[in-house]
Amino acid sequence: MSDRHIQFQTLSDLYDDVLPADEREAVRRHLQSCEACALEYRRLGDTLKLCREYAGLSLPLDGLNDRTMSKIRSARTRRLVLRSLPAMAASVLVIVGVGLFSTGTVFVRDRATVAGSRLSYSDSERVIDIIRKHNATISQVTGEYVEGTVPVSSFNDLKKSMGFRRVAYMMVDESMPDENVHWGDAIEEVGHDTGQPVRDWAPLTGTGASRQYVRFRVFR
Amino acid sequence: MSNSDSEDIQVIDRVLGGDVEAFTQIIDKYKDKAFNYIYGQIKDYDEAMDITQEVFIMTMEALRSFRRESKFSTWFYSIMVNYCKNYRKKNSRYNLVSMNSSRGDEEYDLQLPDERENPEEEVIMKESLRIVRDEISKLPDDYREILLLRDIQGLSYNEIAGILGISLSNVKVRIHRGREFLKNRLLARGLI
Ligand SMILES: [Zn+2]
Repeated sequence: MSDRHIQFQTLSDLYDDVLPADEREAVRRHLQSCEACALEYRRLGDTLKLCREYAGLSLPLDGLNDRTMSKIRSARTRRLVLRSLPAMAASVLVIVGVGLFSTGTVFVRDRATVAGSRLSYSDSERVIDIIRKHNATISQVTGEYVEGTVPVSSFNDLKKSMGFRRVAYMMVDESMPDENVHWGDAIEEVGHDTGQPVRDWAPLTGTGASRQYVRFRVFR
Repeated sequence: MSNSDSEDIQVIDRVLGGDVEAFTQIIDKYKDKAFNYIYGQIKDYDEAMDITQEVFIMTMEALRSFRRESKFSTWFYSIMVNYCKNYRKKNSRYNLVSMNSSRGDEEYDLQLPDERENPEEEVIMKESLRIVRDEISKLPDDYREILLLRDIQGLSYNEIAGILGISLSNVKVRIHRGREFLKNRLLARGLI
């Protein structure tokens, strides 16, 4: 059988125990009688043993928890502060990649470039400009959308100035913490000839006089 | 759903409910594995530390968009994998390495010019494991990624297919090739 040595991929499958039973027996028998293949299989085993040893390492990650948590805390504080400012230059916006995760796709946070994401830089700037002119605050800019908050009284004007874009929005209380804001999947297209919504926007969260702001996301 | 998965979900519910500090538990649970993956991708110790941190921050920020259609760990690993992928893409020195290394075993002895070792690490990591890490980090992109997921993170073929968005047969092929590559390299370095 020496002219038909076992292929590496078969050895790898044997190692992971994903070979069909009959093939597995044949391979085992070959390994018992063929030194070359047995050596190869041992080397694979040694390689993966070293990998496991490396994987088991606990390298010193001193301060990782503390540093990460303090960044998380300060990012949250910063977002709250940002929201309370009336107008904001695009350059100081904190750009966070809130992932819109479809299967296997993640939009990576990227401080340096809004460009290259799906919302182009110039388009983001345009949106940001429009938003600023309408007494709104901007809380996030991502590759997918710009998020902001605007008084209800300015919202209709803002919507009309948007041009043709896709927007999601909901009524909020300005003091409402982030945790309580849940975005539905519905996105409305604005900027049609009539200036009217394509369809009614149903999932407004809550009602009542205290909710006088609209939080919105303008999508590319 | 295993115990570990439902524990994750419980912690996430607490975080989303406003108990931000509970996120420490997620960091504690995943930091070693995440770091070993990232360190295999990004050879610089400090850089790998920063990226590990960034990956956790990004996970936290995106937590509300976790749809719970997969395990949390799978979702977390996809963030990590994609982050490293993008990071390497933007960093020209990694492009240089992968161009050279994808030609085959023979081209392998090129060293990165700006490689710098961390003295702290030197003490702690055995020489043999340092070589393993080095050789993993020099694998062609696709093979390195899959090898780290399979043989460092210990993920199943199915989980890997989900994370990378490729078919099972593709997963298998890459595992075969990645392992063969690494085996040849460790053999050349006299480790096996
Ligand atoms: Zn043989």
